[in-house]
Amino acid sequence: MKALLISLVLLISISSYADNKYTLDVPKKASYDENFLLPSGFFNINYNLGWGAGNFNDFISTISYRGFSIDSRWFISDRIAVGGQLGWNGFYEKYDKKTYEFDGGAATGIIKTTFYNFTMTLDAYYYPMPEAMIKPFIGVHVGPEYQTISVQFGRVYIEDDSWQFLVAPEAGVFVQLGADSDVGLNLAVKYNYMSFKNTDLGFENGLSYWQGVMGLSFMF
Amino acid sequence: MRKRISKILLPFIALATIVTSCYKTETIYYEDYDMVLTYYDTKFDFSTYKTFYVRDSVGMISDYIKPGDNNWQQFYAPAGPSKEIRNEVARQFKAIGYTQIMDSLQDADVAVNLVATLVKVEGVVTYPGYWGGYPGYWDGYYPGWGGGWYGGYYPWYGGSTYYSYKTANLMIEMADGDSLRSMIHYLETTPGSDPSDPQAPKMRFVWQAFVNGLQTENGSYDMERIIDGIKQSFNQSQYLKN
Repeated sequence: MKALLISLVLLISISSYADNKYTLDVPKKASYDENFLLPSGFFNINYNLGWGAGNFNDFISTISYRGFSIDSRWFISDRIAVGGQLGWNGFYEKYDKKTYEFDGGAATGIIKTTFYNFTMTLDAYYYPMPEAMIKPFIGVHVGPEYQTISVQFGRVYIEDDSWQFLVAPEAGVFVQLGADSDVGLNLAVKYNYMSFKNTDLGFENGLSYWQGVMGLSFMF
Repeated sequence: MRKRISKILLPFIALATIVTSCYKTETIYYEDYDMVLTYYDTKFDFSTYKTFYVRDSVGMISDYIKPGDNNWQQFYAPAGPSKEIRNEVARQFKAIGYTQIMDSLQDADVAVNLVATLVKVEGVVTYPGYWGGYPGYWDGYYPGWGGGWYGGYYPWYGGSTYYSYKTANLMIEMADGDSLRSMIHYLETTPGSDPSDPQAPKMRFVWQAFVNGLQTENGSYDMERIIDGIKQSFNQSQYLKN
């Protein structure tokens, strides 16, 4: 009899919940919902502008309009994500015809310089505001890169190909395109440093360049 | 699940399309490969030289032009490249204060030697495999090259392409007149002698210029660049001024 009474009360309460959910649907704590709405990761396809820093600027001073990268990152906690990135960059400069003097002579001609690299990095990111629609982040990329650096002067061509170690800190934002969308923009600034040294080509203390990253970001 | 995979694949396809089209093949001009190189004896005082003698024609070293053939006859024609080059070099020396001695080396302080090296370069390039096509190798190309970056598979020539271009190099050098006369005297008076003999007098060279470039396919734009190169070699050698 007591059990029947309890079942009846329960049934009434469930039916009243169905009819009157507004009064009962107020969660006491938002913590569970908050986590549920967080993405489990991002996949980005990026177009990268590049420009030299330090010695690199003396080698190629023009902006690179040829840079692409793809990356994927997964949240391992509320604010920390890890992932991997593949990237390709092409820098090129053609200098005006000029006379270069050296001890005991001079040479006149057009110099063309190129820098290409293919990067493969492991990445870690920190998201201070993961619940916001605009999610800022800072990150660091580490890994190998394969680079081809060349100088052409007249018919003389010098090329240096090598594997280098790349470290690249990055700061950026994910901008969600609409509250219900899982697509957004990935906007970031990245500084790339390689341990490359070649005094003949003018690289004394490594090689570094900046990147402006603009990409489409897919939240999953 | 199906939706997510396609969403991730789409960007890959987009990226592949972008990357294969971004190895730019910009317009390459013949001038891009022109180079003028000069060397000089930094310890020598050029003001001690007053007179010069230029050899009567430009010497030629070539692997595709044979003495007497069409190219050779054109080169040594009365108004041909040999004559034009010789005249321009003489004009430049006179412009910086030297006096030309026309007929004889006998009294000249400086003997000017002119040698053109014309070489044909031919070869076959086999394109490396898919990932071997890493960026960078498109830029080493010369005009007239049949290839370029296309990406992918080449059924029509099995991954190889033929190329051919001709290079031209003009050397202008100043030899000390006395050292050259001693050498000539040695060669004339010593039977079986050779300039490379250990006891042969040492030739003294005080200035050397190289005007280097690629020949255009029909030769239409070569003389103008050579003349410019000769002018440039004097321009970048202000110490020659007398």
